[in-house]
Amino acid sequence: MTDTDEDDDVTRRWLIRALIGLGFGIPIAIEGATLLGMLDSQLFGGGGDDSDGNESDETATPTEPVVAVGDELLPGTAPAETLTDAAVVTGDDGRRFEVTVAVENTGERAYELRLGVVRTADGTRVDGGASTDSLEPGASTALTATYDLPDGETPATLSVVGAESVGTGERITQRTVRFEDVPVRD
Amino acid sequence: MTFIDKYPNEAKLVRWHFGVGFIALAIGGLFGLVQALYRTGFFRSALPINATDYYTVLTGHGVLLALVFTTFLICGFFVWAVTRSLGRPLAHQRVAWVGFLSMLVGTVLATLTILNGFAPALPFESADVLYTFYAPLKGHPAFYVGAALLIVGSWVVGAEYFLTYREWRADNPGERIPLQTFMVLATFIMWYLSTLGVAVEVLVFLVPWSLGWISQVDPLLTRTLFWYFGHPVVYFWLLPAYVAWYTILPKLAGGRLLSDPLARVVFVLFVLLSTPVGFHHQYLDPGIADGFKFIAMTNTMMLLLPSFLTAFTVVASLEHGARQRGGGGYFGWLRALPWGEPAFSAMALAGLVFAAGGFSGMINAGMNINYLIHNTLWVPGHFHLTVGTAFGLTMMGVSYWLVPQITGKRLQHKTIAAIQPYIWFVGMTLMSNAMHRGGLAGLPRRTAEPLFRGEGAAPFDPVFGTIAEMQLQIAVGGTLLFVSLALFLVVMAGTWLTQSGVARLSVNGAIPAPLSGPEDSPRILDNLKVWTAIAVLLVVIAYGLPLWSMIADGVLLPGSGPFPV
Repeated sequence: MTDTDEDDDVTRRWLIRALIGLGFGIPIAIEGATLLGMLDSQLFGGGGDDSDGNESDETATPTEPVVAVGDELLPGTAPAETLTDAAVVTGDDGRRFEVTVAVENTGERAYELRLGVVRTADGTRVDGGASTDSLEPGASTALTATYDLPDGETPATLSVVGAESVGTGERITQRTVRFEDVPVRD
Repeated sequence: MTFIDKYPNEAKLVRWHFGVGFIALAIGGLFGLVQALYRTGFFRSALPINATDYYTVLTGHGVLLALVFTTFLICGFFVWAVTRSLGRPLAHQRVAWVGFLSMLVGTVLATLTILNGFAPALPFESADVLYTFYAPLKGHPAFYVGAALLIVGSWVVGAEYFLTYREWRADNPGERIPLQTFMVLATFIMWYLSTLGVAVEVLVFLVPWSLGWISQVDPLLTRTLFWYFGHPVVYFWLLPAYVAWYTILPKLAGGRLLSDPLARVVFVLFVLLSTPVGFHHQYLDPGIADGFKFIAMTNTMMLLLPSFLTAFTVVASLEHGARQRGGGGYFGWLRALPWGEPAFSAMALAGLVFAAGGFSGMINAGMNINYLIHNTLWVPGHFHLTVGTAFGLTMMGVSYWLVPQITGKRLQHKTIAAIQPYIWFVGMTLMSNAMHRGGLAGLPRRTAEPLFRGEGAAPFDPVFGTIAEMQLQIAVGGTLLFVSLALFLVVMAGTWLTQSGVARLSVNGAIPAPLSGPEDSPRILDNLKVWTAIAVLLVVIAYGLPLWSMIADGVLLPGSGPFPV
């Protein structure tokens, strides 16, 4: 074997060793971090986007903007999304939170308003929502969403998304708004 | 003397199978990259597809990889395995070629309908029906005819394995079936039994429905027939990987297979248990009694046994090889394994990843815990570990070792080949890890939308990490997988297209005898008729009454008209 062959062989061996180190090291690091993170979450309640899950143990100062009937839900968008009604309706079949928004697309692109998750004052997440069809510029509509509330709970926040068509994708504006003193109707 | 010198006709047949399979792999792999980036929102506007096209890409990725690449590679690999282990050429070359041509024509038909989703000028209309092609999604009839031809072609190729074995048996009465041939025959017994379901689904229901000859099909019945096939197909993919791990990997490690009898037991267990488990894909389907779902669940849990046996036998065989190479200590022998050899490292890493896939599969198999992850991103996270890596990466490793033997050409670009399996391993860990976590957070599968903006993280509560980070990890992992795939194809193309006879082949195709041979096992293991009969009985128990109850209220009722895509 010549010196050049030996050098090539040594280089290849070091390359393989480095490769094996990285090839095993990176997956072990990723999986190890995942395992530790999940243990931490389960045992100590840490980690995650919404680490509180459905139940919040903390008393955080609310930071969402408060809206009332007549306010715009997404003032940063060109179209207007005006809250026209928000009330808790009680009946034999339970309590429902009804939200109505008047949407007028005063922008230059197709637009969709999506009402998403509600959270109650107790921190319970209520799934549901509604969405407009894609509104062409100049079009308007009224959007109503209804949420089944747990007994005795009042709605606190609502997740709102405005989606403006841009090319083959969307430009998203997202906001969580807060309600105070939501009226109750029979 | 290499395989191509001893069996030139069989080598040609294997080359054609591998060649078509590699083309499907290339196209399907490209689609995978496009999917990963579009779905996670990276470079989304730069990609030449929209949200509707995404489902064309998704169908193409699934069909070309999970159905076409797999079937061609398996049939070709098994031609080699049967020929080599029986020590004789195929009994009827023409039969095998007819089967191959049927598979090829079927593939072309189905692929044209899928690509029509991008290019309406192509013949036929589109078929964005996903690789599980459920009703009421309806594709062009050519898609279903193509799928049928692919399956029927594999039946014909498989028949040739049995015909060749029959000739060998006539010349060798009383001999134990050579291990590789035993494995091939067991795999195909399972394949014949399991493909009955999808054959009935396609030929009796979907083709007439797509042609408009019948106005509706019962989606529950057709789904059940599909999943009757849809679970054992994963063993059709896995068992060839097991053939490689049991018979080739120990040799590459420098040793011998620990136990031939254990390997036979494992394959017998798969013959028995692969098919009567399909309801575990239908835990959330109404119309199937919970009791039968429970039977499927227990059968599925029993399938852990052959995989654990395999883990033991293969690792013990590798240890034997490592110690033959001078390795020592409790774990130090691992370092003595030939990690720099791509054929070895690809198969070994594939086996390691399969263990992880098996554990996530246990979650899928548990009826109640399945509800947590059903139709979420967890599911593709799981099957990219199993079919994607256990089968795909293993076949890449097999190719590094076998393609020189079937072409007579020396493996080229060995440094690239050496690093390719590791890039795949890292890419798959990243992508699959994030998919599993995303699934636990509730991210759905089979959607074109990133879903982490807008309504944002609120509907998806990850236990660890953020949705945005998971999406980034999927994009990076998917990109690394594509890079790895490209490197593999560069090596294959370089090898295939190089001049023959330039240098003496450095691959040794001999496979040493196992440490414990077939003579140490009961002869009944080789009685494939007994195992087939028991397998049929188990299928009747698992499926008889549920299928009867679906048919009893009307074969086409309650029905659904077609939803063309």
